[in-house]
Amino acid sequence: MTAAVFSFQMAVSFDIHSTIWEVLMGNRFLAALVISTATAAALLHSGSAWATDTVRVRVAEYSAKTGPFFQELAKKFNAANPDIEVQIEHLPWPEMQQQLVSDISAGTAPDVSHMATRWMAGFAKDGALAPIEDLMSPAFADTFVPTYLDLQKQDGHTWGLPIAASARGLFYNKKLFDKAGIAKPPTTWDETFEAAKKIAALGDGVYGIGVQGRDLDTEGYWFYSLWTHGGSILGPDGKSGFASPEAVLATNNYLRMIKASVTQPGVTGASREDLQNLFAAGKMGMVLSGPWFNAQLAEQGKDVEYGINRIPVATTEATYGVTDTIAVLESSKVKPQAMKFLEFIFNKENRLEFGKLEGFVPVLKAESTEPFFTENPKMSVFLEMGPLAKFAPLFPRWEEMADGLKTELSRIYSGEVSAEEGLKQAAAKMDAILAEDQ
Amino acid sequence: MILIAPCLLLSVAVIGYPIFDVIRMSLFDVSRTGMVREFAGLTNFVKAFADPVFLQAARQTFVWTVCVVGGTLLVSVPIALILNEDFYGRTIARTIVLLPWAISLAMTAVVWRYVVNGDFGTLNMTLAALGLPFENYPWLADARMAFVIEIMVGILVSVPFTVTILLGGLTSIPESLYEASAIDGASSTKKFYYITMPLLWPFMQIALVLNVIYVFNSFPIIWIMTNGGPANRTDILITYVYKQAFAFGKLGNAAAGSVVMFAMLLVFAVVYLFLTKAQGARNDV
Repeated sequence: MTAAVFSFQMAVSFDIHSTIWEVLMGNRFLAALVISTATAAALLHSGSAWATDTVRVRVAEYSAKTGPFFQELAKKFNAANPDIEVQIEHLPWPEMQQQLVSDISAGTAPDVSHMATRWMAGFAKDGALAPIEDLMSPAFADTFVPTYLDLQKQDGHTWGLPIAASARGLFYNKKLFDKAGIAKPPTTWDETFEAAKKIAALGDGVYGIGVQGRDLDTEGYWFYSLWTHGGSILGPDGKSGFASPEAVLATNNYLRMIKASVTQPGVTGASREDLQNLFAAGKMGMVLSGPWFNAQLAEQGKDVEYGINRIPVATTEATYGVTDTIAVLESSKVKPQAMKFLEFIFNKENRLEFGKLEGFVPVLKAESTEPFFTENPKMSVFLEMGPLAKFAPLFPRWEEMADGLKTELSRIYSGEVSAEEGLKQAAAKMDAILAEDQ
Repeated sequence: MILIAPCLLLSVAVIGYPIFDVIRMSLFDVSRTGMVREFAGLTNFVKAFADPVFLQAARQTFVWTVCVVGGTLLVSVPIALILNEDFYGRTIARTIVLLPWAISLAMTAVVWRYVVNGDFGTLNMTLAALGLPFENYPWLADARMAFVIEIMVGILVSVPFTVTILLGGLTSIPESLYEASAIDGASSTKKFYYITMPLLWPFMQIALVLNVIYVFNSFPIIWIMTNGGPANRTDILITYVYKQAFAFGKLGNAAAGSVVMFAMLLVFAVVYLFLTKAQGARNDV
């Protein structure tokens, strides 16, 4: 998104066109241009004595350090493998999905691409990804924590490798807890509600607990409550679990907090970043988040003394596990070389460096015993919760189902409809999509 | 004819081909990666019109376009009239009015999202400093309020362009007309009614048409400030189509939505041409 739209310039119409229309209208001209420049670049590169295979690898940026980290790895790898040349492209997360869709349809996709595991099912179903179970050695496959590798499997194939994994926990502000006279961090939702009330009663523009109501991961924030109340996304009958009695209880759990004004005001306008910013500013007693939040707090919340606890429980211990996937594309002409690079980035040393840099939980068995993870109180809780993790389902049309849920949560949190009514709508939408796709 | 043929061909290729392609996609079953599969007839259109969110987005697009374009014209006419007067510091005033034009729309939207942030936004800080109870009022949490704010930002960024057109119109009105009317003893109100308005009218029409086309398709303000939420209540067709295509991978549906949008603007353009033609014919009499 660049350039003004209302101005009387070509840039205008071009702006809209280059974002949406280009793809919708499959701009072959641009594709041709990209291909020709790529070819020219490849020709320029192959001036060495070796016949090199170029492997284009696209990664998404978790932080400003992600791009340079992978550039560095590629440099090392290229030096050790003169017959392969890895080129790294890095993009911000919000642009990844659209860019990947555009590139695949224009035939200019990279050989290897990073993606959210949620998108993987859709891409795999459309034949855009290459199954990798035969490309990798069993010994290599065995180095992964099974939970995380299993999540990349569907229909008997492995579609990628878990490049990042996270669990979630309860971040709490120790100073505010002391001030409010709360002895220990809450372990149940009832205790959490009581603690939030005490903190909100401090006044001074301080909120008890954050509840998220918009943008990325809004449904995730609701899953914390759903799973710990014993609910599930997919019921035992193979239908949506969004409207189960447990789901209603889970939603009412947040509603009572909203109604008692112990959350931040305007839940429907609060994104994950908004909640994290409030906590980092010392204005919020508790927020549910993941290991990446440590990095933000280290930079922007230096004077916030905080602890991390397990997700509060009603009936069942659970946390939300999320992985991201790095996959080889079906269109790639250099799949074995691409795999060789993947094996390199997943060796213990490189993974450990990545884990320390970005603060994700280990995906390799060998990493799980590292003191960096086990002895660091800001990491260990996520590691402990790993085995309890539940995941979003890998339906090709999951994004749509989650969006339907988000819409209804907005209406429920703002008091427009009751939990039962809204969830019934969300479940109906999910069931309709499930029925359509079978 | 021979001489303009290359130009014409290029125009048809660049403008016509994408339109043809999107219409083709709207009639086929398309995978999320843009592979065109089997012919689907009007299925994509039926699905789009069966989606309540699509209809809601269409209604909201209408409200958005009418309010932003109407508001822009209402604000721009007085501004243009003032800036057309000769006063001390006019150049500086003109520059200030045109400034928003120099900033990218996406940036403007990002800035406003921060301005209206409940806890850290400058708007609430200002209001609280004035002693009003807005320490942490969440402006974007309520869909109606959020939409009003987005419309106001839309007006803000459309004013410079519109003022430019109107100023061009005002400077083209010969001074002698006003002098002649002054000799006849016309008041300034009458001057405005009988000279300025009729001669400025064609320019207002240009501003209206171009603004409708831009605003109808305007993506960044809504996308960045509310992402179409809460509960799709600030979605307009362009954000709806974008979500269909890139979040849900339903390129066929998105193409159908785009074709509907294209048709709407086409109808608007045709009606406009028809009306101006009718007017032109009347003026010739």
